[in-house]
Amino acid sequence: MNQRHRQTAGKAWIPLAFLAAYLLAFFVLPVGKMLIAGFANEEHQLASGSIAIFLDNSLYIESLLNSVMVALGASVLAALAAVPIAVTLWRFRLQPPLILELFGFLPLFVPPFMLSLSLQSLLGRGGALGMLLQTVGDLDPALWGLPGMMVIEAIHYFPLVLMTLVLNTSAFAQQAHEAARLGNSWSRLITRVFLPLGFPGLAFGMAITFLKTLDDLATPLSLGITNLIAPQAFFRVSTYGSQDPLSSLMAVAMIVISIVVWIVSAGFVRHGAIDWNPASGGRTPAIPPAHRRIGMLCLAGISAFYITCYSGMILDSLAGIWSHTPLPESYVLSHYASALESETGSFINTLVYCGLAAILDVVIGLAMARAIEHSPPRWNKALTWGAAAFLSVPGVALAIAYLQFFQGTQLPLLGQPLDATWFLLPMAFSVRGLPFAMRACTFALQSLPAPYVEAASLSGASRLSIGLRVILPMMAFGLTVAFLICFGIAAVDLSSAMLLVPSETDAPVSYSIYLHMQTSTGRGTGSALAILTIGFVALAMSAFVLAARRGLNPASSFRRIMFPGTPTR
Amino acid sequence: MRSLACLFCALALALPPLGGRAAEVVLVASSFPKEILTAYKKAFDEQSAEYHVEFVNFPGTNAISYVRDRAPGSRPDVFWGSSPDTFSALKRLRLLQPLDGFGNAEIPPVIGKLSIDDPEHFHRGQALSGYGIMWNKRYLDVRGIPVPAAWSDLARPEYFGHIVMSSASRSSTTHLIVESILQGAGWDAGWALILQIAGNCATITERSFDVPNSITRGRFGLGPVVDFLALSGKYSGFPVDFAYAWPSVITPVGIGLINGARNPEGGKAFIAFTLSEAGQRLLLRPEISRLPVLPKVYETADRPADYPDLFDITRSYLPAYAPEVSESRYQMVGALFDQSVTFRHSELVAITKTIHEVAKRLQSQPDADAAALLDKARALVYRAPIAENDDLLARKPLKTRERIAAIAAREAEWARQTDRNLAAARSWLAQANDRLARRP
Repeated sequence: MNQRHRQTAGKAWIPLAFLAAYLLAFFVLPVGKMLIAGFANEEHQLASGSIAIFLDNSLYIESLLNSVMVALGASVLAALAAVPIAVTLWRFRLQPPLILELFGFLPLFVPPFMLSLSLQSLLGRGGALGMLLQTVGDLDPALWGLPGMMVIEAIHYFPLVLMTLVLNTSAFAQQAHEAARLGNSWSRLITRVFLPLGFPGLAFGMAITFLKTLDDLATPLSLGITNLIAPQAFFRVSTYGSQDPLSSLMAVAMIVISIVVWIVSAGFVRHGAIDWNPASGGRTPAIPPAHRRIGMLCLAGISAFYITCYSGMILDSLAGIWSHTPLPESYVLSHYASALESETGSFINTLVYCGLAAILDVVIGLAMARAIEHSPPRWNKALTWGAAAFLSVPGVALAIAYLQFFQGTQLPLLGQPLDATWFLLPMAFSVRGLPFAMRACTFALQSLPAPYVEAASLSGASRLSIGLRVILPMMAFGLTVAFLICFGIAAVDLSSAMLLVPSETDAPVSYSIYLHMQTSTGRGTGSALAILTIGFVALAMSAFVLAARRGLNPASSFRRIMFPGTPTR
Repeated sequence: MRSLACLFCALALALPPLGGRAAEVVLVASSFPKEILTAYKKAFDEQSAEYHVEFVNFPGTNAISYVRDRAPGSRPDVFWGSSPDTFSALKRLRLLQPLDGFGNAEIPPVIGKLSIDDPEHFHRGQALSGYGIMWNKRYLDVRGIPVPAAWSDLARPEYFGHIVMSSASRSSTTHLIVESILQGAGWDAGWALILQIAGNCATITERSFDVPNSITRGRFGLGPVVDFLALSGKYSGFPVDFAYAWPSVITPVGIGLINGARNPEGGKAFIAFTLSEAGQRLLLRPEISRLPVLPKVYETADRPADYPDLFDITRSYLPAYAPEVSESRYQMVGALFDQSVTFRHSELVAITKTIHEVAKRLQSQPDADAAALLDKARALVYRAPIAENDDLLARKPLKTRERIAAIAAREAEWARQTDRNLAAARSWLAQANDRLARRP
């Protein structure tokens, strides 16, 4: 036994070394070099030259402030919309159906620029509501400027904020009803129970909205908005190349803002005691039908609103000729045919990049989860939060760091520069998926009861067969969840993809959608591609629910994984 | 560390490669839309037993670094694109091979005033691109907006809020149109016109294709585009039309063999195909709608009735366009456009609106002082961002950190200057408005 222990300890350095090498090569060194590039001069001495230029340019200061304002505005708007609805659902004890609950996480798997383009079709001067409401004013979102972007991001991330609120408060809805029956007023219950309970979830949802909006590149560009920090960095890299010191500074500024926001929100998330399992015991009085109807009406209203928002894109994907008329003149299915015919390449690219990233994530996540589990309790907490802080690395910043760090690195066999291949894409995706992967893997590790392994090894089974017959089957569910979440998150990561994609043939499907939405012959193919992708994600989620219904509670494990930083036990 | 990265790459490359390239593949780099590339791929692959073609597609503005950054022997075989500036740069950097004793003898080397081929035969003209204005007929009819005939028409108040264009730093088409206005009208007058048109724009799109897209759809009324994007929409049944705006620019679409190609013989076979009658005829398809350079193709029945005529178009060609001048300041013109238009668009639109309003009031109640204030404001708002003889515009080794920092310092200066100019112009316009309001 003792000897075995020493053996395992002797080999434990292998995954740790792998982990360290990966983190060093694809995170620490590139970001470190970018920091140096932002703050040093040609001779690598600390210099304030570029900082002075940055601060001197009113455009950059304005962009920085605009970015913070839009991200803050979007998260506050989403919260303002989510709180009353969550209160209503709580008041009437309405648990959304499982599938709707999972759809609350859909904003993380669908890029927000799709909503922006759909609204342009719907509200623009060229058709649908925009033409009918012409007398009211110009409703095209590209003409609203920054408030337009705020509203679009808020609509996009609202389901996530609502769902985090509902999940945090639902456990105590029952007790609240008991309290109300005993004479407590609902307004008192809402301020004394609902808000304190919901706050950690709200803070988490708002933080994700803030971080994703700050990092969003495709949405502002689709709206023609350039005075934000992410588009400014993107324009500088595409005009002056990756060696531009100012784009490094912009990336550093984005990282700093993200970290600050993450720390603030983490403070709230951490202090809330989150218990997602409904309190058991006591009678559960039936929900009166009138209450149920109000709650259902609420959910139906939200669903109808989202279908309307995306109807512009649905119509685009089916429209033959649609030009300056409320509805298309003819309907065709050819856009779907051409999306499937011409874009198999980008589907395969997505499978390869995101698959590679997700596999890496699972492997690295397992190594990190193990390292954290075996560390002393004091370190445990710090490591958990440190790993969650990876969430606050914006995709734009990471891509700029990669371009600077790997520039000039030649591939040994092909004689091609590294940044001209697709290799950096899966690496960037994997770093971005890491916080979620780590949590999912921690979860998977916990589903592995130590006595089983012990028993198997005592009965004389070989290490290989223990691995294959005991460990793998027990962890399969957790690892599959980890893989799927990382895959989904990588698939919509446009902010790093837009900077790292070497050519259109190497583009993943999210970038292909972005490109196809802007072809000369209309948005048909892009819309069809987008709808196929959203359909695929929704189908995968539903299949996940159905497949995992037996035995495990998929929604609860999913929730726990999606809230990085909170305790998994 | 680097070797670790290489190890990862080696692992990644051990997977089946995405764009598997066998020996007989011809690799063509091009910025053309998928419709064109797909049609040529199908036709070429059908008629050739030895080769088949693959395309690398990317924005025209990155073409040079794409070719240059690859070692000889691993570069694409052919470059095919519509930007004369790119060909000028490729030739200067010795990235092209001469194509002597090659091509279709029936294609005239000069049409009208326009030379089709490079005089030293480093690249061949394969088609023509003309630049002009595209509009949505329904959009303009409903609003009673007249069809424009010249670039300068787009600065008129009736087009305010109805134009859409792209950024010169992101779209090679817009870059060419901007540069041709600068060369045709002169640096100062050219910038004045560009800034006025930009002030009339509803939005500045990030991708060139979004301009024809939003016009076809009827989101916006009109905008500057390259002919084939407008014509392909028109011949696909959309209510759009196109005119070569005066002073029009026509440039040959070039095709050339890259120095350091993997498969030069295959590359030559593809070039020969695009210049042959079959290759030229493909250009007339409705979804492509480009102008062939082989005159006899225009006589065929494939052509729609009102298809542009080769000799009509080349007659109006503006001979002053110099690709060398454009190429020498390529990056800076893009950067200047972004600094004064793309990044300042909402301010530019707001002040343009005020200028149109004051001008309109002046028409009904003339006032010499208010008119002088308006002229002063116009001159300041629509001023060239820097002088034509500025050091920044002379060609220098770009992309060193020092040079980028120097440009960034200047950009900060322009941003301050623009803010000051706009503030001054705003106050003059307010004064003019006050004067007009006080009059009986």
